[in-house]
Amino acid sequence: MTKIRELFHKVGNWHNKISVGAGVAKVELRQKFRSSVPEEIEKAINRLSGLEQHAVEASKALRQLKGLVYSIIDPDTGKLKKQ
Amino acid sequence: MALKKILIVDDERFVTDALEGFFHNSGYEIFKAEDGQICLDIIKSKELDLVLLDIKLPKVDGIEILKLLRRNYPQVKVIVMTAYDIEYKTIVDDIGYDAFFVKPLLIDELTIKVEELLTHGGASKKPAEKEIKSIPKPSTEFAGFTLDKALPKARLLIVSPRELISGLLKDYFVQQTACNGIYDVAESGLEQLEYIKKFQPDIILLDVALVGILGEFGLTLMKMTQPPKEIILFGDPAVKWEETETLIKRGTKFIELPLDLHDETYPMQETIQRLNKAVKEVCAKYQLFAKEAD
Repeated sequence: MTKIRELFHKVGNWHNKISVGAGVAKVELRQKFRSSVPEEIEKAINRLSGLEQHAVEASKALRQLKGLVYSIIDPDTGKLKKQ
Repeated sequence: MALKKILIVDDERFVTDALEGFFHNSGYEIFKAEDGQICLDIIKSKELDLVLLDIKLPKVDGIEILKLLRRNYPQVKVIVMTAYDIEYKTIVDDIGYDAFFVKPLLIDELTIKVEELLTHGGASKKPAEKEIKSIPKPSTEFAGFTLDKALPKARLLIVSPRELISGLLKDYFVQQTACNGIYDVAESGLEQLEYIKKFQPDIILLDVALVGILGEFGLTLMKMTQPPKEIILFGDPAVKWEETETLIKRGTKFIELPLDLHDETYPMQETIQRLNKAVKEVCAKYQLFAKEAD
C-alpha cells in the first residue's frame, strides 16, 4: 500500500508540474507574441497565470493538510499515533 | 561568447523537459538529469555555471550532490528546489547554496533568480549562514530595563505545519544578537505532542493552523509536570479555527502572519519583532532572565 508520506509527495509533484507547465507556456506565448498580443492570446496568458497561482494555493492547502494528518497518523505506517 | 551552462536536476521528466525548453530559448546551454548518478556524471564532465537541484532523487540524493558541488565546484551556482522544504532545509543550510525555492516553482521568480546569479553572481549562502534576509535589529530596552544586562532566557517551542515559518523563527530566536534573548529553541510541525513532553518548553509559539487539534494539545499539557508558562498564537487570520477565537477572547496573544511568505510587501521584520516582543513580555511576566553567569 502506498505510504501517506509518498501520497503527499506525489500530490506536491503534480502541483509543481502544473505550475511549471503553465508558467513555461505563459512565457513562451508572451515571447511569441511579443510585438503585438491578440486579445485571445492575452486571455490565454492570463488563464495560465491564474493556473500557476492556483497550483501555489493548492500546495499551501496541501501543506496545512499534511501537518494536520501527520500529527494524528504516522505517515510511514498509516497507523494512528499514540497520544 | 560561450553560452552559460545550466544543469537541471529533477526526477520528474515533465519538469526537466519544460525547463530545458524554456531556458534553452532564453539563451543558455542546457543539460538535464533525472537521477543523481547522471547528475554527478554531468557535473564532472561539463564546466557548469549553475545547477537547478532537486533534493529527492533516485540513486544519489540531492544532499550528497550539494555537498560535492560546494566542496569541489564552489564556483558553480546552486539553486535548491524542493517540495521537502524545511524537512531538509536545516541540512542544506549547513552545506550552503545560492538560492532556495520551495515547489511549486513560479517560472517568473525562477528566471529572475537564474539571471541574477549568472549575470551578477548573486550573494552566495555560505554554510550555516542563516536564511533570514533582514533580521530585525535588537531593541536595547524593554519594560524599563536594559536587555543587554538582563537578557530574557527561556525554552521556546515553535509549533507549525509550515516548515518554512518554523525554520525562519527558529533561525531568528537562536541568534542572541538578533533577538536579544537567550533561548533554547525547538521546532515541531508534525510531532508537536511528543516534543512538548520531551522538550518541556517555557513558551510555545503555536501556529493557528494547528489549533483545531487543541483538544489533544490541552490533554498533553495537563499531563505535564511542568506545563509551559504561556502559549502565543500566530498565523494567518484566514485559517483561524473556532477554538482560536475562544483562546484570543481569553487573552491569548495572537500575532498575524500570512500564509503567503512570497509576498515581499509583507512586513516580515515587524511581524518577527512582534513575536519577539510577545516572548519578552512573557519572560518579564514570569521573571525568566539569564543570570550574570549565563
